[in-house]
Amino acid sequence: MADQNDVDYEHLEYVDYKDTEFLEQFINNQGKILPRRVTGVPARVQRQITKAIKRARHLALMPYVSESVR
Amino acid sequence: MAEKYQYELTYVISGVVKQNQVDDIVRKVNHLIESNEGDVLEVDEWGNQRLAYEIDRKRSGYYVNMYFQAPGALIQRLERELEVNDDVLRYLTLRMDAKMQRHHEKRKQRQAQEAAEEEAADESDEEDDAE
Repeated sequence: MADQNDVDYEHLEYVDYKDTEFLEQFINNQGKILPRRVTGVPARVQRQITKAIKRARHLALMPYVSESVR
Repeated sequence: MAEKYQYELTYVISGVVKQNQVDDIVRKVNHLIESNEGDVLEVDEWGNQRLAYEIDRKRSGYYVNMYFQAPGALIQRLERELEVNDDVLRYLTLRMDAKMQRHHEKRKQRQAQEAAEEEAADESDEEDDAE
């Protein structure tokens, strides 16, 4: 992930919990949030992503634990 | 007069609830906002969707995403209403700051553009048919 960093994260203003397609890039196959050393995004963006994923999980838009491991 | 803020609210109604009851809940929520000095700006019903995990033995839910302006004191009462209603599985209220509002405007524009493009594509199809 860190090497395909072509998205302009510096200008990313807000990470939306509704955009699950985008957020799915940042979870592993168990549904865990990937650490920043793997995602390679700026710290500010990582914090926003984490928050957005947790909001999406609350609304059952994303899983806490993915179907395959449950 | 109390200061008003812009809010985004998403709530999930149980998938087993019938459509007319769903409409009742949506109407009740809108009415509660409007009768308390609030303005409903947008209501976007996503419709029935599969839940990412089971909630109270339910596998699907009816998603409603809405935007409104209201004084802060209303939120407590609104959330209480949603909490008490057993048909509402989940809700999330966010106060929108400038960044979120800008993001929302952009998202809306993009969606409008996509809709317009789709319409244009449909129209050209029709023209082809006419020939």
